[in-house]
Amino acid sequence: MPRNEVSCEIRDLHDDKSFQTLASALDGVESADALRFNNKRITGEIIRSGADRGLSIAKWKCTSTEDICIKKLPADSGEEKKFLLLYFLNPAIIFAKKKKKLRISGSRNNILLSNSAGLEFILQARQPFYLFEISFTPSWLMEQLRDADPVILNRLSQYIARAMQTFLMEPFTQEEYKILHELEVCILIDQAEDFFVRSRLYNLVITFFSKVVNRKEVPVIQTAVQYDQLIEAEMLIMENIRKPLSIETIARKVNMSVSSLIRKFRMIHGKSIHEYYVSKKMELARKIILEHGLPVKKMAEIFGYNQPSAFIESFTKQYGYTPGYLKLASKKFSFF
Amino acid sequence: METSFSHSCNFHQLPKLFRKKSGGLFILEPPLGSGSLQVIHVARGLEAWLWNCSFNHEVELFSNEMSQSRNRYFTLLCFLDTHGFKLSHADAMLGENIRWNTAFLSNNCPYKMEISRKVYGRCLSISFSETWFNHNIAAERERITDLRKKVTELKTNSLVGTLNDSEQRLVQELMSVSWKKWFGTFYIRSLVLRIVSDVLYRIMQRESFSINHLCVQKRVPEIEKYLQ
Repeated sequence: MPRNEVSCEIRDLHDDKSFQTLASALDGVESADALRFNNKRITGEIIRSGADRGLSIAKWKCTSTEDICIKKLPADSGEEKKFLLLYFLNPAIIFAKKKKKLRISGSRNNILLSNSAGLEFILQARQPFYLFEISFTPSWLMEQLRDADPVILNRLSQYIARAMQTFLMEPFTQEEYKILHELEVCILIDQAEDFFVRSRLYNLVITFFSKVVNRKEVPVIQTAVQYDQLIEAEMLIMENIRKPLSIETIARKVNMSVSSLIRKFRMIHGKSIHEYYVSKKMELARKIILEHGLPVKKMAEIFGYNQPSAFIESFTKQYGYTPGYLKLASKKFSFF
Repeated sequence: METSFSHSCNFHQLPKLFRKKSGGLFILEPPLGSGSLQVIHVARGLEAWLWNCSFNHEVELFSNEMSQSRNRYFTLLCFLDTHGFKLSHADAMLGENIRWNTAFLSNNCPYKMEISRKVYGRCLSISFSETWFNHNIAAERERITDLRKKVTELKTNSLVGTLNDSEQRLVQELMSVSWKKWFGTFYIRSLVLRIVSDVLYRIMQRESFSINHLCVQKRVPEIEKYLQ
């Protein structure tokens, strides 16, 4: 049983009513599609976005100073049937059927359940809570899959029938981490771009069902990831793009071991920290060349290269052409 | 020297060179060439073409900028290899000496695409109407209004670029024979929308599409400050 903590009961994870309940119980401030907390008990936000009729997403990112139990009650019998696809980006604790305690870790941090099920999750004190939750109706799903192959539909029906009865816990794939990361860094801020959200949501749903209907073909990640630390590491890289921090410094600042940081960063981004750093730097360099046409020598200087040749080499390695060439070609054509 | 093209047609008339098979599959047969063109209706006003073919003669495709058509549409071309493809816009030509593998064009912009003979072309082209764009992308937000303005300017201009690793992988995935295609149009739509949204996002991120030489000296300190 959960310990003595603050608890809050909601029936849906991100509808208007639950936003009101959460705002009132946890002293949050509602603004359009965001619910923000900035008080002694909890800081952070829940941001939601509707993509299609029957499809929506919300991101929970918060840290509390005491344990908070969120109880999602089973939907009322008259309520529209929905599926909830939960992505826990940090390790967490949930209580499922019969108050059975489940630890959410790397090997099973992605959960599919029906809204007719109840669920409790704990926002543990001082542990950043990171959750993306997608909600979709069966009719939305059937509409999307109307021309799917019968073999796929058959396997999916079996899987979904199980999801109606119980929780289905799956590990993440690298692709899912990548898409969630894109959602995290590019959108779900106040200026969320619906078209971007929708494209990523479709991808997440397809990727989820791909891994469950063909487990052999879709490799999954079995290791737990402390996602907030990786986000922080990425921010440190971007903030120090001119003079990079050493991996040891980044690891120390985000409270990770060097080996764990190296391994998990690659797991999420598919490239090493150094490769990631250089690619981001070159992306920025390309943008500056196209928008301001700065001389290569000046560009090298701005980006902290002692020799322009080293800058040219990095740029050419990434794009297949030199910065000087891009500058010249952009006089004839508009590059994006 | 002027090249005479065996086939010259409007870009959107391309399927007419092929023989229609079942569904959206079109086959290119001798003496014209070999290979296929898969036309997929992703949504109302949004279509994807998967080219996998080689022509036996040079082919020239052109835009219909002269037409008075009220149906404006945009095309995003994503090539896995541009060898043998040349894109020209007004007097400028993007050939083998200018590296590119993506182009974003409006049907109103005066472009031509030349395809060399015996070159195996693998390309994904995504076309969407202005109506689709307005319904699906354009919302009353400042950033989107700015994007709409940039895209609208394409009516007389074109944009070229290079696919990043992630986009290239998505195009390859769409071009390949994948079991995921058993998911039907939903799978195709998810990838097509992702590619379109990525490109539009990149366009949105750009401040302008012309080099602002006049402010270079003024901007350097700003850029340096930004990078600090």
